[in-house]
Amino acid sequence: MARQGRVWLGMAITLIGLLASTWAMYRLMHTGTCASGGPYVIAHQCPGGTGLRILGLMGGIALGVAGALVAGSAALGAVWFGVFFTLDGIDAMVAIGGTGGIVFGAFFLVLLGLPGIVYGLVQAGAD
Amino acid sequence: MPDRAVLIGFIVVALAAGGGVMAATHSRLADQERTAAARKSGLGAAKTASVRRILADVRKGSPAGAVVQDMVFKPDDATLIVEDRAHGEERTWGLDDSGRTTGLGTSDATSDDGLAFDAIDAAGPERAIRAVLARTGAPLSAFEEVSFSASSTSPEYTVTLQHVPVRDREWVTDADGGHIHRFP
Repeated sequence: MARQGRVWLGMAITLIGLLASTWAMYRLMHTGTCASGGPYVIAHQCPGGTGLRILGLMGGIALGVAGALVAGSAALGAVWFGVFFTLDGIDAMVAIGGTGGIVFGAFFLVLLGLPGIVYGLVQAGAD
Repeated sequence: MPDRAVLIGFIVVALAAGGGVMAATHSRLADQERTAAARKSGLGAAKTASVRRILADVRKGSPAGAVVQDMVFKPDDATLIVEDRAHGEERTWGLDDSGRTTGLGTSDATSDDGLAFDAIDAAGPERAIRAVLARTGAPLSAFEEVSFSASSTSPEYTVTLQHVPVRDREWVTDADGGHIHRFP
């Protein structure tokens, strides 16, 4: 029973991590390249809150991995990996847009997202 | 270990929730971009209300006794240089992509010229621009930038127009928009 509780808790933590990283990645991809500070003239100043979004992305990844550890499930870890890159791929297609965004997003989706999800499901079946 | 059916359910929920986050973020950014486009239309940052807000933001972020040395307002940008006389340091302020006033960097000041915030009339830039546009008969879209330098012997604005004959490009006015003459 306690084991089952840890699985659900781990999945909840992983889900929160996925939502945080999806939000952060969308905002960062929408911003594109930017810089701030230093003595040089900057063509594209980073908008306010960029640091928070970077922390959100890193925190989201940490939560995703932590959730799989709490659940003690390699399958959940693989599914997190796959869903993370699937959502990031869609993020890129929508937030960046154009041919570049679609190719970039498709790379994430096809080469990392879907294989991760499939591997996680296969792993769950094997267990 | 979650079984396969539970994981499939998790994937569906995660993708749906992630899609919801993306849709909400996309909608919020679109609203911000519409607001920014409206803000940049016409005089943009040189509007009296914008100048007042920018000056208030810069004053709030500056040490007591700081003075304004230079100001440049464009439809989509603003640059202010403020000197902290106590430390001989000047800080450059500008607008970020979302139109918020932000500090950009500091360097050693090269002069102590400057006007106290209280001595600056926020309506001055817009008054100077409208006076020049009225004088030249140019449309609002001809406005490129208005600048102010405290190193001048008396407060005056330089208004730059675009897409007009070269001789009509730069004008100088007093702080009240009077005594308009071509630069220099």
